[in-house]
Amino acid sequence: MAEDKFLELVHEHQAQIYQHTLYLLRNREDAEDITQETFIKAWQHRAKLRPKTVRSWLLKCAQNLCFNLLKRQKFQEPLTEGDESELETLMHRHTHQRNPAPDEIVIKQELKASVHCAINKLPAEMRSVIIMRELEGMSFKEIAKVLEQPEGTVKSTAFRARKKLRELLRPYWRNNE
Amino acid sequence: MKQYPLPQDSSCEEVQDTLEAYLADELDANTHARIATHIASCPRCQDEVDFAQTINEALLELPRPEPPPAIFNAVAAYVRAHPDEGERWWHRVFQLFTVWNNLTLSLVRVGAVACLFGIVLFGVYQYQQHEKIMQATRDLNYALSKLNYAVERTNIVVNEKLPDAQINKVSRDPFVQIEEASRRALKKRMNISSAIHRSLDSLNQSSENTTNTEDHQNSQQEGETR
Repeated sequence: MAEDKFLELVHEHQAQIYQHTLYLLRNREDAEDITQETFIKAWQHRAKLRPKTVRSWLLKCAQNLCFNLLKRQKFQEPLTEGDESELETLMHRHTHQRNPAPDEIVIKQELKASVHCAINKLPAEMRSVIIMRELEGMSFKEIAKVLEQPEGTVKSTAFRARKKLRELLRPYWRNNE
Repeated sequence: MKQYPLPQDSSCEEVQDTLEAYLADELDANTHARIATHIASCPRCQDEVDFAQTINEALLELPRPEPPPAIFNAVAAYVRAHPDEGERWWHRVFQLFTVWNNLTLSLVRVGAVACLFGIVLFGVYQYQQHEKIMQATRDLNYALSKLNYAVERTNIVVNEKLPDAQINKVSRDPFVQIEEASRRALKKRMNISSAIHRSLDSLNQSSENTTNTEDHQNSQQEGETR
């Protein structure tokens, strides 16, 4: 693969890989490092890359690197106060910038702002499926290919993740009602 | 907090468990219809659907942060520092080998099984032929031993009985003795000759089978050559 062609590929996919790693790792610096490492590995293994499967290959590579980092850092522990407030600020800024909403839907917007924090409280496997499904708009088949799991298992994980989100966000919903 | 008049029954629990699959339209038709009917008549579940849909909307509206330019710059710098030097010749050989391996794997397996089967058949055939030849050899050895015995007995009769016959010309008829000895020898010789015939028959049969097989193989080779 030529260098120019590869850099086009990087330009095309870097946002998706960065967002995926950022949501998985919940840390900008780590996400940047992993995204960079993913594309360097892709260049090193460019002989194996095929146009049809390059997105799956990159996501699988990024996913493995993220999980290795999570294992090393024992990332399953609860977030620090600083991380959580940073994410909440990001989500609040995002929702209020995009939707200057009337009063009647403000409550829902507040709940939406909490969704991001709730996602971060999900186990890494559920978080990964939710990110690929909702953020990246991937089909269950594509996700199954990346995770190397049966499609039914991926669907089940996705539904369990959403149910878990409902449980996590229920206090906000009840209180807001 | 809202107060809902309907108590939570088993259908509400079912909705709680399957709501995500219901909204994703992943349930079978019967279950989907049952859930839909229940939701239509249950304010609590309608609220739950609203709640789940709000979460779904929030998921779709998650922020998508742009990657910093430093990532692209770092990757580009690495790529330029490690330029593509073209495909190495051993990569091509490896790829060819991989393709060939994938294509021929099944054929090789079938061929290997066929070869093993042929080897076993050939071994069984050779063993049978060997057994026949060994049996014929044993028969021949037996016949030769009998022949030697008959020759010895004939010598004894000729050497011992004939002088006695000459000496006792009056009391004994030497020709009777000789005739008796000859008859015994002849009897043994008949047994011997029958054993030899059997051995020869077996040997001939073995050689005929071998010759037929060789002729068949030769004719096949000639056919392929033509």
